[in-house]
Amino acid sequence: MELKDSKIIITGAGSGFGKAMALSFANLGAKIAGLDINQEALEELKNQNRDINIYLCDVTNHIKIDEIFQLIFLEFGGSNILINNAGIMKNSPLVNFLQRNERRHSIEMWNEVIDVNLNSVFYTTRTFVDLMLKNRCKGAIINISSIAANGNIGQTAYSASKAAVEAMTKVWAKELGTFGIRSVAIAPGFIDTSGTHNAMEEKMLNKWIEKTPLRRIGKIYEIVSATQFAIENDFLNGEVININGALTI
Amino acid sequence: MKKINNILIKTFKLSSEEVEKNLRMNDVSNWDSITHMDLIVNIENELEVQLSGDEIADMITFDNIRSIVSKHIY
Repeated sequence: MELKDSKIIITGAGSGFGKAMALSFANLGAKIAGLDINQEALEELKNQNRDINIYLCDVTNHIKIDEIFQLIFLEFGGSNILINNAGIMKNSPLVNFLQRNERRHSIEMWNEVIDVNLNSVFYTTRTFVDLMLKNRCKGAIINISSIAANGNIGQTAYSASKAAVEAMTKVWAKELGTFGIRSVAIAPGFIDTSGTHNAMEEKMLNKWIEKTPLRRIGKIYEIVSATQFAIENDFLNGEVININGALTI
Repeated sequence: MKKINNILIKTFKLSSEEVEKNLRMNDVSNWDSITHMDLIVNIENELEVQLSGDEIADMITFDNIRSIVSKHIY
């Protein structure tokens, strides 16, 4: 599939990987629908490229997703790529010895992470594929996973959500392949984004760098280029592309 | 006391001079809820003591750790 001919929906397009993909793919000629929960971030994205269409959307709201996806298909005359990028990272041990009363992992945090990282991918993709089939579109679903899908200490909810996203990627590859719809996951390791720096102290990040055979964290463009490869390679299906410098956790 | 300090050195990768101080959680960059679990396991296994939930939650400074663990081993 030629990227320049693609009509791409990106969730979480207001920052990080999503924003970098939106700007990069728009510059290469793709038509971009950028979704985000943050209006200011969306306006900033629009200011950087007026050709990008922006949509305020909470991806945990399946009713809103249905409305916006139908609107995008109407405005774009269809769509052939969905990039499920929106996500949050929250850390907590299963039992926190430092808490005196309720030491167990909070159910609210569990539900929030599962809702944003996992349920949203289910909500967007079921609607996207339904619209694709109605419009006889072929294309691909790209899910942004994480190295944490292998199980990372202190990330019960986050790791579970990403492992489930990888499982759905493989299900959809088999289920939708006959319709010409591919499904691929990109699993970044530690990447140089504001989210990474906000989530951990520099000393902790340096420890992960020491454990990485390439002795560095990844660059955003390395995730963007992997995503571009996943879009353009029409025989790639059901795979998880790990971009982590050979780090294992 | 030396045994406790050795566990602090091993758990938090600090020097012997640093563990002599009364450092708090915020002073030690890798002391979080996960390394706190390592600390408790190291203390209980190496000193053959059993700490209560309240004691574990109170162990948020080096002096507190030394004081609480000392009660079990001396």
